Amino acid sequence: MPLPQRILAIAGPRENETGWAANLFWFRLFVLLHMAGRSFLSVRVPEYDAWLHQLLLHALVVVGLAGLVPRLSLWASRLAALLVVAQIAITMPFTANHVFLELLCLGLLALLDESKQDEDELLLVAIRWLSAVFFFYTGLQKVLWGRYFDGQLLGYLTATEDRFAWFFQHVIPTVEFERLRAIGPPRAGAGPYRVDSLLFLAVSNSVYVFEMLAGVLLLVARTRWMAAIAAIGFVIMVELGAREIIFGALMINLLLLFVPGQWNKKLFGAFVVFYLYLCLANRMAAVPIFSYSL
Amino acid sequence: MTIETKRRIVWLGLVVLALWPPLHHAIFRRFDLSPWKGFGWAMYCVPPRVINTSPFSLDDRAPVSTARLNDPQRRAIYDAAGEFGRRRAEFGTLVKPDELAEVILELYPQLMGVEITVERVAVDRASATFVPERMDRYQYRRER
Repeated sequence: MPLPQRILAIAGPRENETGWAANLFWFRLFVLLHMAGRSFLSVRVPEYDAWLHQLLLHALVVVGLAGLVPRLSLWASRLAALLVVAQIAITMPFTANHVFLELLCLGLLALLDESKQDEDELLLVAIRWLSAVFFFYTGLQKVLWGRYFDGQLLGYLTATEDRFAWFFQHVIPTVEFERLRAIGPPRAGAGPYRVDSLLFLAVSNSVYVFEMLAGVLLLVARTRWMAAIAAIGFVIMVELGAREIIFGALMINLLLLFVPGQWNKKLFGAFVVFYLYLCLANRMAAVPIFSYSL
Repeated sequence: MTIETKRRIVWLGLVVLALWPPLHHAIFRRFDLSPWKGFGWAMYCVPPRVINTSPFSLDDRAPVSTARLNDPQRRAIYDAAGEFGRRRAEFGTLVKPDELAEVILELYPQLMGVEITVERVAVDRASATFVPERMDRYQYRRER
């Protein structure tokens, strides 16, 4: 077997692994649902009020919803991939990374058809590698930029953003927490954002350690499902602070493709309810507990 | 398209995906770009940077004062400075304050030229405090 194929095969299903083929179909539906939901929630974002962007967002909603009809889902994925490319083109360089992650998923779903026997495994392998590479590099980049070793980044986020303060008030000693929250807006001299707490330092350093480790363990057949479950827990923990729950939903569905059993299928209904709820709350401008960032 | 072609596309895509983050890191450091953007998976790696912009007269090096301007004129300068700061924070040194200089030279016809200093303030790794990390100066002379 040629080297590229052997490398790809690392992420392939185990001999007795079940459920993955059906999961791919439900993952496709989820990505289309996610794209439609994200686009619907973006319609009222002031920065996106240009007519071309509005047109694209509305088109993405229609294509995403149409794709939920199984016989249309493959072509909807192909059209959606082109529309998201157009959206990225007009939002560069301010495009969020998770939109690019969505595009990569759509690109694979546009290229490969899980209903064809010789393409389903390649699709699974490609998506698994994508998730593993994503996890590994999110951790490595944190190491390279070096603002996690002393908790500087998380200290800054706690000081300046309520969503992170809500989470880290349970981790940081009260005196330190109050000091951080009193620092005020970012300007020369503001800080220090280092926190005198072993627990906080452990949390800060465990972020990149976990991400890099998960990236590797997701590829090892023996540890794959345990790494995926741990990573799902990690994503949920992160979203308690970051509240980027749209991204979180995409990430969880990517990780479910590592878990034996038809979990993408079983949980699809829950994600439909989740997006419906977000869209309704968005239109009613209510329910602040489900605040989210696009 | 055959499955072999599709396999090659997937392989190539994954290789690019794996090579881009290290390249992203090198390029973004070289041009002082914000690591949050550019699909290098470096979001939440560093606190956002603050950009401070100050214009000085090239005639006498005095700060350009907005005290004598009316509200719309003052707003024109603040808007141009704000937009520049926003883009500079993301694009780094690839963005220069050309438009801000243009607005200033238009509002101050007596100036021979303007120097715009651009200071980037960011959280220092060692002190964990916002410190000025980089200062760039851009000079614009009025065309005669």
